[in-house]
Amino acid sequence: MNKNDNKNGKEFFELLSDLDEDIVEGAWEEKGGMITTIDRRGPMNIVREIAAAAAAVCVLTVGIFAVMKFHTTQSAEPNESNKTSSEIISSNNSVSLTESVVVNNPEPTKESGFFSFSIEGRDDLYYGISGEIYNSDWENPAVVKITYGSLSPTRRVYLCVTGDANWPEDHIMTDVVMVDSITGCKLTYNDDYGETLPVYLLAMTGDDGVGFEGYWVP
Amino acid sequence: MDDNEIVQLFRDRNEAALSVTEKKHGRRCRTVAENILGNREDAEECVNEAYMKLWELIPPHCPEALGAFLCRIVRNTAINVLKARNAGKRGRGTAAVAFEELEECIPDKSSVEHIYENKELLAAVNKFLRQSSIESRRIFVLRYWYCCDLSEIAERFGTRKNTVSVILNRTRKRLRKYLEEEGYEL
Repeated sequence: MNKNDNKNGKEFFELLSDLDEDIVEGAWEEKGGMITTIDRRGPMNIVREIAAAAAAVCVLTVGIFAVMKFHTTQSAEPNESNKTSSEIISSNNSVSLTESVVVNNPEPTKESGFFSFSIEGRDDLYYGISGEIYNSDWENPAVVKITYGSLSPTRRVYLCVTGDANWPEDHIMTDVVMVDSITGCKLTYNDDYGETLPVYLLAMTGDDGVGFEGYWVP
Repeated sequence: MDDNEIVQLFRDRNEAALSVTEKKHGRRCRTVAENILGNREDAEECVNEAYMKLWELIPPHCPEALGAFLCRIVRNTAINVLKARNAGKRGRGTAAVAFEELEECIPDKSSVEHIYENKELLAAVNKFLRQSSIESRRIFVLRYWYCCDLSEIAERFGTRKNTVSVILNRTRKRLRKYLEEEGYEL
């Protein structure tokens, strides 16, 4: 069968005509089931908000990073380990994805409540980045921490959660957050639907458009 | 006027039934037709044709949910129009994209012709939707029954288009898995 003609899809679409009437009626009329807890700020809204402020917004997350500090004994720059943690929201005008790099070591470390990852980087942009994703449960924000490697001082890396590994940029589910090379970043994501399917971590750079994605285990 | 009273007007062969129906369900009918056909004029014709059919069908039919009953007529009429003009060759409208997405849910692509005739498949889909969360069910039906585009659904739910897309993607995967578990050779 020629896949391009979507014959099966058409037939299935026709078949659906005979769905139970109460289901059909309910989908149109029901008022319940509104999605209320997903963060509704899209990346572009954030960009606009931040552009107006002309500065990154810093939010203290001392409690979270007290935990992080405990785990980050391999910090690339130990002399900066006392810096205040911050969440920096993207202020870049355009974030692009042109290349994917597989994140290694996606297995969670159950004992510690986080799992580590490393990225085979491009030497001209970054080198040997590794880090940890703290994700003890879905009700709390996940924290991504880059603990080793080098980012260009002028290089911005953004992270977000996406629901689809094949078309990650079309399924971004959270804010796009800029990674601070010292303190990492915080991504807020609540899975309202109790799904067990994986979501993916997507990283992007705004300059030369290098992206990578990682596996995020719920 | 509630649907039972409107149905009674049809049964009494009172032509006011048509104008009352149009007032109450017309917008939804036009939405369905336009979503499928992607053309306002064709959609208008389609809805008018559906009213004629409704007039012929009641009586003897006595639908419990007049809106859904009428929309089903509209939907089937629109699908026939779509077939007639071979719209698949005229670009990617909402319906064409919906067809493509639904391909993912079809268990065995080579045996669709066979299972299409099998009402059990439809029963399984109904059962699956009843077991799904209210959000998933509504979004699935709005997308694949009413043929709404993602933006429209997102607006209804007060969320983002991407979120709707992800929910649909997950629902399709779950449906496929469910059908496999129900014994369809996938």
